[in-house]
Amino acid sequence: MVYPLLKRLLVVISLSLCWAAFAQERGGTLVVATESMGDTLEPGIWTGFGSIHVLDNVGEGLVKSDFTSGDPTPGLAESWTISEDGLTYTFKIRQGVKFQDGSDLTAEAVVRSLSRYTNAEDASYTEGFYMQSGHGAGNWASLEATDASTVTLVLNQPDSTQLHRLSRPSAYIISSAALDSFGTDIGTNYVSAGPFKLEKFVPGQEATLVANEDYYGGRPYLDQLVLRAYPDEASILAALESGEVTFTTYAPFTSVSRLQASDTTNVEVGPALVDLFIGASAKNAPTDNLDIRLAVNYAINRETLILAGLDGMAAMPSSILSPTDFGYDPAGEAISTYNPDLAKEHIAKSGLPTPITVDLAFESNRFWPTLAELIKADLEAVGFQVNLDRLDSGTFWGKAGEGALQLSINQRSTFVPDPNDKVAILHSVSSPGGQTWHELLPRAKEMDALIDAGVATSDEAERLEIYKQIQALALEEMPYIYLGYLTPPVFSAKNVQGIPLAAAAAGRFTLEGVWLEQ
Amino acid sequence: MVSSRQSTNVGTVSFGRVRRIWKKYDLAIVGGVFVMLILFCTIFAPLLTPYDPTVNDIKVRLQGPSLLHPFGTDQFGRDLLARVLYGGRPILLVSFLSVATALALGIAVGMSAAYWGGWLDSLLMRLMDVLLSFPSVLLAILIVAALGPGLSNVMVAITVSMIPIFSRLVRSVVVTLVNEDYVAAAKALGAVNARVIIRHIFPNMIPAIIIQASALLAVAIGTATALNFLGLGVEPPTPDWGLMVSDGQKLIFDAPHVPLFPGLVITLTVLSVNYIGDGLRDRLDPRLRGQG
Repeated sequence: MVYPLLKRLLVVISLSLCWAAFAQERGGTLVVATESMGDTLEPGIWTGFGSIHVLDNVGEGLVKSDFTSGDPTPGLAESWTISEDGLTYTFKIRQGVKFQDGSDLTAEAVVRSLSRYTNAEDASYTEGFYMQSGHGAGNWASLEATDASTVTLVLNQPDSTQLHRLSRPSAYIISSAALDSFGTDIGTNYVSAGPFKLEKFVPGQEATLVANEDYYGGRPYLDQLVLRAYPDEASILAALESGEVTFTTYAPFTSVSRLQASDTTNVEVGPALVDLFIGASAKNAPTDNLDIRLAVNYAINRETLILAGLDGMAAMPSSILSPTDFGYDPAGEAISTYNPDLAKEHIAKSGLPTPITVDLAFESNRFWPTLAELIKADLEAVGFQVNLDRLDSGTFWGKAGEGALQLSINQRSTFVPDPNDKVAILHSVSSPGGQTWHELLPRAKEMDALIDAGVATSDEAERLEIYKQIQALALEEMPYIYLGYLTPPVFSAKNVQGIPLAAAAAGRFTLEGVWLEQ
Repeated sequence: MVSSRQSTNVGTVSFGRVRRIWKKYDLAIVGGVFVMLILFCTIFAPLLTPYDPTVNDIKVRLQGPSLLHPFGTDQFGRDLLARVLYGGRPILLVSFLSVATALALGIAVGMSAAYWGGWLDSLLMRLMDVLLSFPSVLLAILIVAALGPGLSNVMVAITVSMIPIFSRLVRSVVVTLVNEDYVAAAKALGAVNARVIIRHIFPNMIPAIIIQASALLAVAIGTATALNFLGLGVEPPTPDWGLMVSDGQKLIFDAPHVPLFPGLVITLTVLSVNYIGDGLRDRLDPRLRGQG
């Protein structure tokens, strides 16, 4: 009599414990603070990282990039094959997957989604900056649905980065029904097949996402995700401290040590994967003079910059690739270094009379004004006269896009974990003008040939050697003066678990694996 | 026998009178003393602090108040007291000069409009109306945005935003005064316009102008601070109260002394100037004289 009773009691207790564990992980709302939110989620147009964070949680592409291992992993394509010559990619589309509006994921939908940027006939076609957004369409000979579940992509030239390119937001697959229904308004009514569904989008302010119950990878733990733009770091910090915000990568670095000791907040320091640099224009005098660029390089005390400007949240630089990038070469540390005597030698060699007047442009938010002041002090100590040009983000990027800046401070994150991502956008002549007019440099063609070679081969040893040469050439011509590699801190409330640290530090986080401890 | 009243004389001013003045103008006197103190400190800053406000010393960055650094240090290790002392110079200089210039130009515009009237009055006052339709801080921001950042452009912006206020005040006073009998008599006796304006009209405008100028000085300080806060005025590392608050705002939780001290000084300065203005108004406004 007692034994069956005990048995029933044991079952009840076990079930209760399971339920308790399940209840700990499921549910809740995560509120994410971002520094901006675009007016549109149109993935072909760059409108800041706020929009990217939304897209990374609502959208999904054929391929996902693993920021920890650096490998491409299956997304909406469950598998793929690449031909021997590296030109033909055959993707097997996952079966039974639905978009967030209930329509089916098909090979045709994939083709349409990836082709719309160059198809003016498509109902959703929109002109805009970064329209093709780096997913490689310029190198595509053909893209077709060879059957209901197969997409074949043929390239003009081999591209070892093509898989990673398909993990970019512009390559996320959008529902064809939504494209037909919303047309050019797809940017405010985005529908894909990611772990979260867009419930509400307030342009420029906030996006509310809810769990996609039918996500092929399993319903996310969180019920809701709110991504909200705040005007500055101080308000983000206040919101984090009050509990209004429970996750952000945009709180001020000055608060890291205090919040690490706090009972209510977690701070984890991410890997060194964001390049900080000064772009020096090769078109505008006096920075078109190599000795001037080298003088700027040697004049800057990076240790002081990292300590005082970034509160220690950076590592010393080498060249364009950071320690987490494939192909990183530390040899550049000997050049990206503080040597004011050498800076003065280069100024003397330039033949220009001192003080040499330069304009230093920077964004007015975050740590940029502090960095600019420190850089100004360093440059003026060796013979420059620096005019600070403090600009709001929109004006800064507008002028950078026009190539109107002389010296300008900027950063480049590892947007996808492949070295070509940083190298191409900063050095390739296919990305002309910008901060540096690097296409005017004497060895620009040599750099371009190396960049092309770097993507044409998938042999690791060959790529390592190529990227070593690219980094060395970047330092010889010095269109960018490297200041450090940011180690972005990631802030969250104490009960937030499962944050993808490397992806968050890169600004490319998908929060399907995040849960709230009860 | 010496009366109790006589026994409390201080020089030629009785203690009772001093007490009455204090009771009536206590805040204005406190404000005046504070403003004099601020002016003294900003003018004689090099004598009051051994620190250069623009030299970085990273080793001592973000230290709290101490004997060595009474206001602490900022994110670059600069002594905050030194920066507060020197930081008043741009704001106070711009504010005083802006108000003085706006006053001079406002008098010229308002006097001309009121004295000669007609189409000149209509034209000038409609132009002033257009300027007045913008909120003054917004107008100042627009002007600086058009001219470019810099202290001189900040001064131009504040001056332009204040001219309409002075001109309308002057015009309203002069319109009343030109119809006075003594003005008509002066004209009838052959006095030229300049003499009428200088001898008969201008002296009667002075109280109103002083009251308005003191009120607008507080506004000018606030506007100059706001423009520097937005990074439209002085360029770093020049110390400036507005820029110090702007740069320090993200440190409000971690190093609150950095934005707090310049913010406090700004608040007390504007408050003091306002109290002085209130006191002057109580003293000079004929409608209020004799009250309280």
